[in-house]
Amino acid sequence: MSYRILPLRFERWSSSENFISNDAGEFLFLPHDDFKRLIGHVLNTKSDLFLNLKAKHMATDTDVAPIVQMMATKLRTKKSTLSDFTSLQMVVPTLRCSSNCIYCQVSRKDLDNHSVDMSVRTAKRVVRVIFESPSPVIKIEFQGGEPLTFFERVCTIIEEAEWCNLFKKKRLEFVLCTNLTLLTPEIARYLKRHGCHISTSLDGPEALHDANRPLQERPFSHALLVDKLRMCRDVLGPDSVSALMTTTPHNLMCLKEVVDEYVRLGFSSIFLRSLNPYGFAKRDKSKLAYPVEVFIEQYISTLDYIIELNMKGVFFVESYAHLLLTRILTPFATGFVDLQSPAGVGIGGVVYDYDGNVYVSDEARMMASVNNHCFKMGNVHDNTYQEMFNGGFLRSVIAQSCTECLPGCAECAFQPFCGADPVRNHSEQGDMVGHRPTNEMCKKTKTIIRYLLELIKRNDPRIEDIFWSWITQRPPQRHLQ
Amino acid sequence: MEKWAYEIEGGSLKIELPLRFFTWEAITAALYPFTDRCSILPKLKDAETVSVLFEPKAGVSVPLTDLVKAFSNELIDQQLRFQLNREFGSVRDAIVQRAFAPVSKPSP
Repeated sequence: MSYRILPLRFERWSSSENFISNDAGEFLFLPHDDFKRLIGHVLNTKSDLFLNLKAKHMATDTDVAPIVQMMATKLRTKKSTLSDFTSLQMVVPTLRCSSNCIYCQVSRKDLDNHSVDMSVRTAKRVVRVIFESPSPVIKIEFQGGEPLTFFERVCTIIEEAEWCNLFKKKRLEFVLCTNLTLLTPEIARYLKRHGCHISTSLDGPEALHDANRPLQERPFSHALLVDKLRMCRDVLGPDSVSALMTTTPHNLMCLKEVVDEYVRLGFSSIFLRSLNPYGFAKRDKSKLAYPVEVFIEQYISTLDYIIELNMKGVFFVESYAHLLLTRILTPFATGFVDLQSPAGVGIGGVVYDYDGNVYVSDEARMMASVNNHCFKMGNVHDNTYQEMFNGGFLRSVIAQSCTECLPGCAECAFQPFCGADPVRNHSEQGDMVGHRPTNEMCKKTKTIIRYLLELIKRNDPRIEDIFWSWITQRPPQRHLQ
Repeated sequence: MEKWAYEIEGGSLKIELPLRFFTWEAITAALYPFTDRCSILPKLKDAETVSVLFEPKAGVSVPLTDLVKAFSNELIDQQLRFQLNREFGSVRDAIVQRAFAPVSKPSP
């Protein structure tokens, strides 16, 4: 009986197997001979293999119309982050900072430089623009500089947003990105009253953290961070603080020690992030850069280490793997703006700088800090919401960031799990489309996706349990007990 | 031209490909992954043949016989993708159209 092959992508997986996937992210490993029989239209439609392909909507021997309807629903679910439009609203109350990080990506300014503070007028205008977003969820994230060097303006924005929300009635969330060093019990109590979550930076145990993130006034910050972290949890609750790390040459070869420090300090997850090439990190590239291959190698061995920790009963998540696994193993969308198709720039997240300039992403603002304003959407004083978010500029950026039609991505079998970053492409490769064969993000993401698929393919129930526990955010139930 | 042929000379590789077997789209897609290590010049030799010259970029060591093997596999894969897309491209278009129908622009 004849059959029809449905839209799929394939990749040679090994000398004996192909990996195939469809737009909804369903996938299969197929021996070469079976793949040849599939594309030669000689599979037996009663065979288990064909029924498996049919179940995953990769081939059919029945009417196509209902499958189109079903696949459309699945695709819409995978792309559901698009329906809300911009929910992540990053605001920079000031560029002043108390830290002196070696890799500062925003080119921070000195503590006494008040020319980089946001005015009340700009803050109120920013909030007005934010609330024009059609998104039912508004998450205002305070970035810097160090927002606590200008806490007064943080308060202006929080209170103005709460006022606006009395009428808009959206789900309003606040996140303060801070090095914690200026946090006082009074500030912590204020943040608690307004339901503000805290995101901090922790680059490892004391020596590694202090090497990466000294303060402006003294060459260390770790001890102070630990002290403030404790106070913060006492006031705001045990789960009120999350942390991010950045990998530099100092901690690149010690990522397992970084993980141990996160566990020791009571965090339940880590995002193993490579250095983004913006601001001082780009200016001092000769001192701070490292080959992407080395990062990938360290990432994978640290991921293995984290899996081992979980096997020993420590529930601890690697957030990048968690994100990719959610895409690989579930039909749902994930809201990570740096890896979306179309890209999340402007339409998933946006940044309002201290002077009212609006950029498509935090990385675009970082580029602007070294006088590259090519991703500026406008200014809250000069442009309307419609001009910035429904204008030709943002439409053009988005049109150039759909992996479905980018060279090298269009045919990639990992495409349903991946995304585009036009800002990073522009920063590193000179244009928004980028050049995949030399693109480090592509190399990193594909290698990590491939490794996760290899782990899934092992069918080890203990690893499956751990991956599902990460996806569901619950400790493993079965095979590890 | 009945089969494809290659020639390694003076550190560069020249491949001739019959358009009877491979489409221009498949050839250019197959060349793309090699643009990290080679400067590549494809040109139409005659109505039936595409000639491609691979020149390793300065400072890059490229074993040319390995390159031939890797390119062969890539070309077969890309040609297959092109053929499969002819088979199911309209279905993919219909899925995307249906998925985003609620937000599609009305025709002018």
